[in-house]
Order: sequence, then C-alpha cells, then structure tokens
Amino acid sequence: MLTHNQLRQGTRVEIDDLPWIIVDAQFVKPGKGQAFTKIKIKNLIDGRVIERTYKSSETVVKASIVDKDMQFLYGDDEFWHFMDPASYEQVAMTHSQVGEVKYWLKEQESYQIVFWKEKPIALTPPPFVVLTITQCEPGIKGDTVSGATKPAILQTGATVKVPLFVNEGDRIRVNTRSGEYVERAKG
Amino acid sequence: MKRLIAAGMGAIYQIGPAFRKGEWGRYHHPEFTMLEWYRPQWTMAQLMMEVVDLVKVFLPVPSVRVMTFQEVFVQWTGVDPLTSPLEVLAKTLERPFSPDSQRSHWVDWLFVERLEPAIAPLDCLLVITGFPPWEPGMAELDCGPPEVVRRFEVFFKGVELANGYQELQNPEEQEQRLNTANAQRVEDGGDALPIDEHFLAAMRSGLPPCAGVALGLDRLLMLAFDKKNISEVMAFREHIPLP
Repeated sequence: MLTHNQLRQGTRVEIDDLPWIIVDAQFVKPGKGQAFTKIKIKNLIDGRVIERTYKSSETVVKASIVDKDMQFLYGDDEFWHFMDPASYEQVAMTHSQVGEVKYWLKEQESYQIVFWKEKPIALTPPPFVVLTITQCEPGIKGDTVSGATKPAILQTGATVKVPLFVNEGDRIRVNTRSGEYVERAKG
Repeated sequence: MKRLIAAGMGAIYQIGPAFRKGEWGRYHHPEFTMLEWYRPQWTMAQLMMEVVDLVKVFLPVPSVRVMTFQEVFVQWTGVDPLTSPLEVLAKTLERPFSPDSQRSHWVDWLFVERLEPAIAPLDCLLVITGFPPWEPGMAELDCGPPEVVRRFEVFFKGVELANGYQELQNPEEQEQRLNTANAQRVEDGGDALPIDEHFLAAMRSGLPPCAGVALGLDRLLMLAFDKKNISEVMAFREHIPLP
C-alpha cells in the first residue's frame, strides 16, 4: 500500500484492477484545508492517460510488476515469441501488445518485457538496433555531405530515411525511439 | 509578530524561512521563504490592494479580479460551496455520496478537481475573499449573510501566492481556534502543537485592529522567472525521501 505522499512520478500502481505508471504527481493543499495528491497516470496496457486525486487518508495499491530482459525468438501468425536467457522460459505476446515495436524486433536481440501479475503486458526495445536494408535505390558514391535522403526498407519491414551513399544489403544502426538512421554498422 | 503589534510596534514585516513537514511538490517544499507583514489600523481591503501592488512589481499582471469564494465556485464549478446540497456537490464530482460527510470535505475536492484547473489558464491576478467559516485561520468573522471570514487569497495562473486576514482580535475565540486546529491535527494523525500562552496573553492585553498577510516568496520568484517548480528558484533543496 502506498500513502498519498508516496505517490511519485515513475511509481507503478494498480487502480481499478489495471496497472498504471504515475507520469506526474502534484501535492495540493487548498486553503487551510486537507492535503491531496493529484496524479496523472498512464495505463501500462493501452497507454491512455487519466488523472486521479487522492486525499491524505487514502492509500493506493502498488502494482506487482516485474521487468525482465528477454531475447526475441520468432514471430508467427498469432504471436511474437520471447525467451528468458537465464531460465529458457518462453512467453508469447500478441500483435496488439507488440504494436509498432515489431519494426525493431530482431532475433537474439534483448528486449525489456513488463510483467503484471506474471503476464507480459508491454515491451521496450533497446535504444538502438542494427538491421539490414533489404530494399533501396542504388547508392551514389562519394555523396556523404549533401544531407539528401532516400527511403530504405529494412529486414523487419520498417521504412527508414537513409543518406544517398547507403546500399541495399548494408547493415545500419537505427534509433528505436525516433525511428531515425544513425550510422552504417561496422563489420 | 502579533505580540510585537500588541506591544505597539506599528507596521512590521519579516522575510524568513517557514516549515511544513512532509509537503513536497511543484509548489511545495518543506522549507520555504515567507514574506509576512502587518498593517495596524488598516482594513483587509486596503492590504489587498497593497499586495496587488507588490505582486505587480514582479509579475506581468494585465488585470485584477476580486471575487468572493462563493462567486468563484459558482462561476467555474456551477455549484454554490456554501448553500448547494451536499448530494449536488458529490454529483458534480461524480463521487459516491455519504450522508454523514462534511461540506468542507466536498468543497476541498471541488477546489482541487474543478476550480484549480479552471483558474490556472487565467491571465488575471485573482483575489478570492470571503472564505467559508470552516476555514477561519486567524481571520475575523463576517456575520453576513452569508456567514464568512474576512480572509483573502491571491492566485496567479492557479498558484496560490498569498493568504491574508482581517486579524481576529477576540482572545477567547483565538484560543478556541487553536484548540480546534490541534484537535484536527491529532485526528489527521499528527501531533498537537503547544499552545503559545505568550501570544494569547498579548491578545488579552489587546491587539489593535489590524490586517496581515503572508506571501510565498519562492512561488512569486518562480512565476517571475517563468519556472515550473519552486525548487528551481531555491538555493538549497531537500531530496524527497524515498517511500
């Protein structure tokens, strides 16, 4: 149980039988009256954000949440499969749970999966992944400064803007937060 | 400070640290700096204007609105904090109503959930007067109707900057309020504060008619420098203890 002054940004709580993360917490004391904490919470399953207010005498349940680093194995028609490299335990996540992260799923790569009540509910990709370009216009030699870009399709199906000198078959490092090209991967 | 005023010191001010244990937030810090001043023989209305003049030195204030506690609630929440039935207040908040609940409880909720978000976008300096009798602080009663206390608060962009009173002169009433406040602290799980007998003795010897106000300097500076958190204008800050 968390008392109202333990409601802090980043704390994960269970409200209305759902898991949430506190994105903003605000202490309020109107007039000379009682103290309140106003929190803005983001649903860990569907991402919607709502506000709630708690009185100083109220408590909130701390969500029983575990983060695990797991390796991506493969995807099939229904699920994306991951494995805990320590215990070899496997979990499957649905397409809707994985969402846009599917563009950054690479075999053997490690992803952080959020478990709530022992069920996987969300996953976070590493900040950068290296992926191979499967399709793009041929490269223009020597053009490393113009800043012009062209679209490239990656092995995962993601489309990323790349500089003109980059070629099909090249491996590139991509920022998974912004979806932007960073550099050509070495080796 | 009121002991000095009772002793005939005249108009006085102080700038100094104040403490509120456990109060953390964007606009709260356990230790903060307060500017407090008193004007013997002044009315609260005169002091309100002086506070506005001071605030204008620091903040771009395009206009000033003076409204009663009742008026601000009627305007921005649609209900009357002093007279609307408690069921109506609960319904406005979409919260379950319990018949033994207190009016102050619902009005505090309304303030936090409805009024504060509504006044935050306003450009004007908002001065709220005529507080309900259940939040008297050290203010004189105004028999009304409606029965209120002679107290004001100054808000800018939804941030409470100052709280002022037509100072209570009656020593028996003062003693009773200190005891009531202590009983409330104990009920809320806190410790009772020692009763300041020197202060009560000064009140019995006679406090002149007087208006006084306390202003949160860190909040004023935060707004003046367009910061989002009072800790950004403080030299030293405490770290929030982890749960």
